Amino acid sequence: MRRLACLAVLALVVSGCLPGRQKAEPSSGEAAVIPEHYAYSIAALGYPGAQRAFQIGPGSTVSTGECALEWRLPEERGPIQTSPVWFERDGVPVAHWWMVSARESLAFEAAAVPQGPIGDSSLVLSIRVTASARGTGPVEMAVEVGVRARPEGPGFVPWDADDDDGFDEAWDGTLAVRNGRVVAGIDPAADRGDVPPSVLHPAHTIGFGLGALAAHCRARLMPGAHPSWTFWMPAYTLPSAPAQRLERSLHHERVVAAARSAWRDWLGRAARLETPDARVNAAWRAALVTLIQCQERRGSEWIPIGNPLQYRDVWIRDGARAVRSLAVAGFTDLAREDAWTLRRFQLESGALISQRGQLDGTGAALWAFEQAASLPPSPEWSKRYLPAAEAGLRWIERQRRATRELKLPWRGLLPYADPRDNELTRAQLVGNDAWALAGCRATAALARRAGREQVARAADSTFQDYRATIRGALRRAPGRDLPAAWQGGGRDWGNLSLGYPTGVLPADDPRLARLAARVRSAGAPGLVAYGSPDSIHTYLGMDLAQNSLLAGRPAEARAALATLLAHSSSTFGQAEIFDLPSGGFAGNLPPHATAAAGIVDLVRNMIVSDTRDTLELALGGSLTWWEGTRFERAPTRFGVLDLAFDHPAPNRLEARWTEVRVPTRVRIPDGLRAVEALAPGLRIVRGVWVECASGVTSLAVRVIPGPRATRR
Amino acid sequence: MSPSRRHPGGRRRRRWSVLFSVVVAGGLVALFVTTRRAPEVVPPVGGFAAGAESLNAATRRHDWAEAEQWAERLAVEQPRNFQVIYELALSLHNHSTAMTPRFNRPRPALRLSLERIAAEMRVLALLDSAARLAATPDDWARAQLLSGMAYEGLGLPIEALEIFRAVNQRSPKLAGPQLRMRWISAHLANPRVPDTLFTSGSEPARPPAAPSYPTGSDSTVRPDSTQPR
Repeated sequence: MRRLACLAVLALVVSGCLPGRQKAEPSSGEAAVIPEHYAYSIAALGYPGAQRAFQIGPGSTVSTGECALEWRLPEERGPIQTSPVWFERDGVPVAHWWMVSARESLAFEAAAVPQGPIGDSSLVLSIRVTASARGTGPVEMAVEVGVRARPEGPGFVPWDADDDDGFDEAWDGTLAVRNGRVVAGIDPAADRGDVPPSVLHPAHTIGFGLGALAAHCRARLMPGAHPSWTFWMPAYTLPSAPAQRLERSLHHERVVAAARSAWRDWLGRAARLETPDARVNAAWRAALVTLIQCQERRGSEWIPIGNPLQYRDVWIRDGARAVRSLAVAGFTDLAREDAWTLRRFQLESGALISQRGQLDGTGAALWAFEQAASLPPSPEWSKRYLPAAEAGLRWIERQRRATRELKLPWRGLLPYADPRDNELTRAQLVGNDAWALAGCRATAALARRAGREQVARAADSTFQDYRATIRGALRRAPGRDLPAAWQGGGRDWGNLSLGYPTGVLPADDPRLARLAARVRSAGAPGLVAYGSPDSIHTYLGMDLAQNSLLAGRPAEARAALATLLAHSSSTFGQAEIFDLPSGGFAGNLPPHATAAAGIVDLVRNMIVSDTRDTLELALGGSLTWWEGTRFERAPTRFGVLDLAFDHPAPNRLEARWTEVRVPTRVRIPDGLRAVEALAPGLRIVRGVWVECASGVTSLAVRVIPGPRATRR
Repeated sequence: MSPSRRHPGGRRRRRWSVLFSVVVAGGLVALFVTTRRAPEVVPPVGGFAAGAESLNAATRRHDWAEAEQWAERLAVEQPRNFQVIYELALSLHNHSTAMTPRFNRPRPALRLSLERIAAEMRVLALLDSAARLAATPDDWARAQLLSGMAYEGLGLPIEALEIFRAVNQRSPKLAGPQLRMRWISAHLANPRVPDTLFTSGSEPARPPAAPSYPTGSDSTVRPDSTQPR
């Protein structure tokens, strides 16, 4: 326990994150020390465009999924603590972790970047290990680095990994070679033993654990001296010659500098968000990093994938969420290109389908097109997406017509689906219809923005009829709330989106509240249990949280966000599902892109919401967020906005924002009531809302303590 | 005043500009040559029959990747041969949807759903072509049946049902389309109907493996024996 405390203090001191230094600013390589809430500390070091990423952790291990480097202190007799893995304070995914014994500490720094010689779909990981003595006298120390196929603990196997479980291992100078391919490079000072396996005399290893390739880095540690060693790893194994060339060109400092520069550039393109809550700011940046890491490049196209490690594939249902979140975060071009990629899933019939039986794909893709074209509004992109949206709309109409003509018990809706995914059933799924309905509305909006009023009216007409059909079906559907499938049964999934974002039902529909009450976890407030009550889903509850926000119950949304952050990794990544008591996530490693998308969208809507026809500010309802929140270059359906919330005196709130052409209203935080407008053009409604006249771009109101209960 | 006097160095400049043009043109030609895509498929060495035998052998081994390669080569040679186009669609479908186990976990042959859906789109287009090329009602029905099954595989029952109905209308005696129609219709009405309800009697719900490639001109293969896997 004492050692753990030492480790935590050391980490805090090194990172400069002791209380009072919470403000985020460009770091100079300082780690953001965040508690690890999962059973294993795992982070992903990827890069936009690459087709693989590195798994960092658990423990002192880095891995490509088919090869891993592991560091140990073999001569240390006492306990050794390994810290969680952390990224840097400004969100840059340069990994830091520590190994600490009673005598010495090792600081690890790792960064991944593309390198010209190995192509832009691969990456190279550079790791530097710096040793320090912890006592006042000199210490003889040795750190061992070993090559293994997979980390001990949770890991993943890339789709394109070799099938081998037997390896001919050899050293080729400083290069670690397995089955004739270079898997890593080690520091020239490392001792590979008296008779190391060589290319001519390799050692044969069976299995995925440590093999015959190990080396020792030895030093006599003097207080104040910090010897270091560097290692590197390609994301894809290399032949010897290019590996040697790569090794000669690699310098750890340059790799880290390049990673920092590139990631700061990426993050700098986003809308600038700063709230008084340092954790929220860090989680926002971490979520953006995850979303950007989950971008592959194929030719000229960006492709949104599900996870940088084990889910390197595209699901429309996840890609659409990525599009929305990238768009609201200010990555306008990337969001539009991702959405443009989704059109490639369109069959001749107009259906958009990424995985067999996932009939929500058409509606979700149409919705994503509209998100990309409206954040901020773009007639050009609307025109570009419209043909695909029209074809998708025709497919939806045809499906509905067919189920009517067939006189199915649940007609006018989409047919049955067997998505072989989270829904765990074959049935006519309520969520599929919700997304298809959202697709109809999206098509109308695209058409209107593209100047195609006739198409817009036709899409509107389909939307109205479809919504009436769904609402009629809901009235006779089984259960008190909203079922997963029209036939009943199945696991709750798409039905959780009937309020936000599909808009089938208004946010204050009581069935949505009853559904939330049924599915939310008692142990993880605001999040949803998936299957077992102890299995908590990190993003499935986000739509319900958004719904609470819109329904005037922001405390539920804040609870969801707080719980999610309290069950995130030490780099603010989220596993898709985790076990509440143990924090385990089996092979479903963090970070999941859709959870990241959920955080971005929820945080943004808590500050500025354009879901309805009014610009709504400060829906999150937290007084804390009025203490200096700034959101700049934020795309909305009403234009790109800058806004600021301030609480200059205990009885005064102020806000400023960019002018928009729609009505604006501002929510007074929970626990306060607005009693007097201190600027012209403001109207206080029930003490909870301030409605702003057209053209008003600032607010100043006098507030008094008020009841916590909130209403729309 | 000679032009060279009027423009000192002009000839040299002209020479350089000519040289520059030649270099640029040469570069463009080189670029064109180097970036020209080589034909994706080379016709089979040893003639069509040998290629067909290789396709048959690959199909028997369920080596769909190789079967697809052979079918591609045969299709280059005989792009209007129904059987070739049909077999290409079948092997492409089976290759792109195959889930080969690795480390005790299934792995798709194509990593990205974008690639898998693109392959299925091509399968559907090939089957459409095959149906147009079909010389006999049986061939047409085979192509359509496989097309319907591909839609089923995608999880699109309405599209599949429409195709099976069309086949049934033209070839009412064929058992395969009837069976699939019944299956889909029943599941549209009640998606929870057990699959096994349709496996009784002599009609198999899941027909046997794809046939060998017939080297003759006629196919006597039953439509319902072309089930994609």
